Amino acid sequence: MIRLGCVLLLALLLMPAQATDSQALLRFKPLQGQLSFNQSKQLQGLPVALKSSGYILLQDGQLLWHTTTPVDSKLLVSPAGVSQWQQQQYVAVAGSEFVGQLMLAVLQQQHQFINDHFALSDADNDCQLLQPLQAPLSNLFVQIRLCGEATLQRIVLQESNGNSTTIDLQPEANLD
Amino acid sequence: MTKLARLAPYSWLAIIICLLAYLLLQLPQRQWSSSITALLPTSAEPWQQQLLTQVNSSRQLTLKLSGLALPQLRQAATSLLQQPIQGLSWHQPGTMLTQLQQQYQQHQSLLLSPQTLDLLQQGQYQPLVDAAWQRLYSPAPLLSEALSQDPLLLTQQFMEQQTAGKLMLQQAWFETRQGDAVVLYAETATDPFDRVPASALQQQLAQQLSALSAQWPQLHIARSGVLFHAVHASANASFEMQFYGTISLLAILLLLVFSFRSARPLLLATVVLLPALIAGLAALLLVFQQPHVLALVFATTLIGIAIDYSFHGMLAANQARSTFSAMLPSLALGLLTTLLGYLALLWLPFGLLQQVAVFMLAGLVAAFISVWLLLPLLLAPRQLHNSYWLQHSCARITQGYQRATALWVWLIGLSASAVVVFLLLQGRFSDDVRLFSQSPPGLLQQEAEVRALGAQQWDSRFLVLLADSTEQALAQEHVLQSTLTQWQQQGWFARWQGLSQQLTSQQQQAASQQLLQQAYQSPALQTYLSQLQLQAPSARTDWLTTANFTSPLVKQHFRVGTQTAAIVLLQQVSEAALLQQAVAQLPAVYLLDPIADTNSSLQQLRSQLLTWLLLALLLSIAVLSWRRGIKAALASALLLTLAIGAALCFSLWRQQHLNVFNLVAALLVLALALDYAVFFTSTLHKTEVMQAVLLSAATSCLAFGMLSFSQTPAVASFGFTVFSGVALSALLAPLLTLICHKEAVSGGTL
Repeated sequence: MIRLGCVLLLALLLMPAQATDSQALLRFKPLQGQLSFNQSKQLQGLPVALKSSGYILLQDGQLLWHTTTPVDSKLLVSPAGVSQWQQQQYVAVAGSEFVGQLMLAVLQQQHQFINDHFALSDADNDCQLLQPLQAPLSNLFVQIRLCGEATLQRIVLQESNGNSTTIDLQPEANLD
Repeated sequence: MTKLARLAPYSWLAIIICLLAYLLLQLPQRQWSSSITALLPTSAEPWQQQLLTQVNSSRQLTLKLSGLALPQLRQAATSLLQQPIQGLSWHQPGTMLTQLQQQYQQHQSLLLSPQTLDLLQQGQYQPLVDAAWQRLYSPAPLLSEALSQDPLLLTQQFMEQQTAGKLMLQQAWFETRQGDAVVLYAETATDPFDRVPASALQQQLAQQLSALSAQWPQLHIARSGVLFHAVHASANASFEMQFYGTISLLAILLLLVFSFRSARPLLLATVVLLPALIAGLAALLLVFQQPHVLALVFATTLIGIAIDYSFHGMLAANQARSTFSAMLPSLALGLLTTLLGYLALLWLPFGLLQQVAVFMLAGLVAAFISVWLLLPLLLAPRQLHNSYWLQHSCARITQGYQRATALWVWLIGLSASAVVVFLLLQGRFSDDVRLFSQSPPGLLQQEAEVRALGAQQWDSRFLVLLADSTEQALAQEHVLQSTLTQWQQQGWFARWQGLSQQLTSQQQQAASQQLLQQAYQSPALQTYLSQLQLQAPSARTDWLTTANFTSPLVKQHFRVGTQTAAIVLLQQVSEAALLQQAVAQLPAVYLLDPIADTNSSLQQLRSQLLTWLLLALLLSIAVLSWRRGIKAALASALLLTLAIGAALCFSLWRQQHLNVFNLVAALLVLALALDYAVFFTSTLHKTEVMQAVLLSAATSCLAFGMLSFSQTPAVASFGFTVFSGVALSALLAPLLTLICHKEAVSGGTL
């Protein structure tokens, strides 16, 4: 009886710790629906940042990345891969599978994918750092910074080649 | 008896001892092959044969790990890779991709996609600029120094336009998109058909996989690769050889004990069998560098035939010296006709049958010589107690056959032959080589499971482009790309893979640089470059060639004589006939289909075998006609037709179709049945002949009948046809005494 009591007590003590770990992973609410974005891309060798904006649509496990300004460009990201809108049809983009998966996982807070591929740590100002565990992601990114309070508001992709991309997200319910 | 005649048995024994010594020296050094397809004939041209030996996917193997969460699957995969197996190298797909990307990065703007090239050639620069802007504003990462070396990001797009795979690439393995399986690829250093090292390798791998299963009981492992099938086939053939050989030997021993109630016949049978086996094996090793284990499975039947000779020899020698001398010519005639049958096999372009023929020819000659020289020396007349019950039964059977009349035998024989021939004409042949061997269902299921992933599973058919140099081959493949894409869009195949997808010829790279330099001067590009505040890069000359380009696809280019062969692999070919027609219209492009090639060769072989069967039948009839007279020869022909025809009919009923191995078996039935015909048309005493034939047929039926239970369909087909043919021949042969009771005066001597 005493032994049983000890086990129960131990279980009660362990429960909050496990809950804290899970919560750490699910820090941001999974995004769904339409959001507008502003992207700023700083490329090596370019004196000015490339700024663009548009909206993303997260629906049925798919992500539509529609850049509207300054160019019109559509990327469709699904678990099957990344496709680009070219000449009235989506054409598969080879080699971007991981980036696509990564974007989906980050926006939808798929903790399984994140946990499988990144080491997580907290950073300042409501930010979380994701460091790739192994190639090929580690060949592409040095780190990914996710910032926001309850919802994800900013993503900073720090590439291995020195380029960096900052994406600011803003929920916007009635965008076409 | 002359001195020479007295010395002959000892000389023969000395020869056998020498052959045995040769075997003891050679056997440990020799490698045995176990591939059925490796033995089959090919109708391909010499350069195609050379290429087929080089384009060998048989060393590839794939493992699919599933049933656990992804982190555990990764741990299992890592644990497997951490214990290296000698002769097995695991692929590192992530390393390969990184290497490929680094090469592209160092040679940006040299490689352009066909669509880009078209636009550049047509001077349509705006679409290229638009695409570059789109790519620049995409969140996806870019190659290092992309803008300074390749401002239009053409190499980046070239990479991205390459076919995306179904699996996600990791450093040392692939993962499914659902994250429910890890897929590992490896290559063996040894030929999977090289029995000993392949078995050792497979065993080591099996041990490691068992250890993984013990650590993670939920882990499911699916294997794919020729290694697993080849090792199974090899082990199965070895087991069957030993198992059926032992059963045959035991049955023969039992028959001898039953017939003579003495151990002496065992010694006598052994002095016939052992030299036969030693001579057969020695001949096989002398003639063939790498004999096939299946040749031995077929050749266990030597025991069945050689024991016939020892029965005839024993029974005759036990009667009297004169009876033995009278029996010898019939035995020699039987040997001659059997040898003719096997000689026919020797001329066929079929490696396995040639090996069987060599083994049997040498073995049968040795068996005959042993009967001739050794039996009279070891067995004095009346030394053996011949079973009264057996002799009495044989006499009763012989009398039973005498009740029929010759006319009825002819009538029924001819009618039955007509029916059998009619039924055979309705049957169909299958020449599909894939039906000859059968892997266990569990292994086939695993193979299907891995193939369903569709990653690196290429069709056995592939395209070949012949060119004078690697450069030219690359250029030709580049030209063919649009046609390949068109065929792919028409659904003739699902996917293709060639080196030109990763690398273009040096000439093409130079031309691309020239086009790009022109493009940079255009207003569209000038505006683009000024918006980005970039300078137009100068033309590159640091070409990327097969000499400095590292990729597994470089291995798809081979030297064939003085030419270069570029291989284009195809996946899921669905319209082979259309593809063949279309390829035939293209110069220096060929569709190689090893399986169809082998099947077509088998079809030719089948028609050759049919011809040889008829020829062997006619030849035997001619020999019989010479020794026994035309009536006996025709009666024997009727017996042979009926026995062979009915055996093939039974096989047809059992298998739903006939194959080349049924015809090979028919040749053997011809040889055996002819032996019976020779003895039943001789002047020898019919009760002794009946006893010898009954014992012979019983042993042959046991030896061959056992083979019909083989797990290898080819061996089972062969065994069943011989079994039915021999059983029918033994049943029908005594009727020959009715329709040719008056033998030729010269009968009984050769």
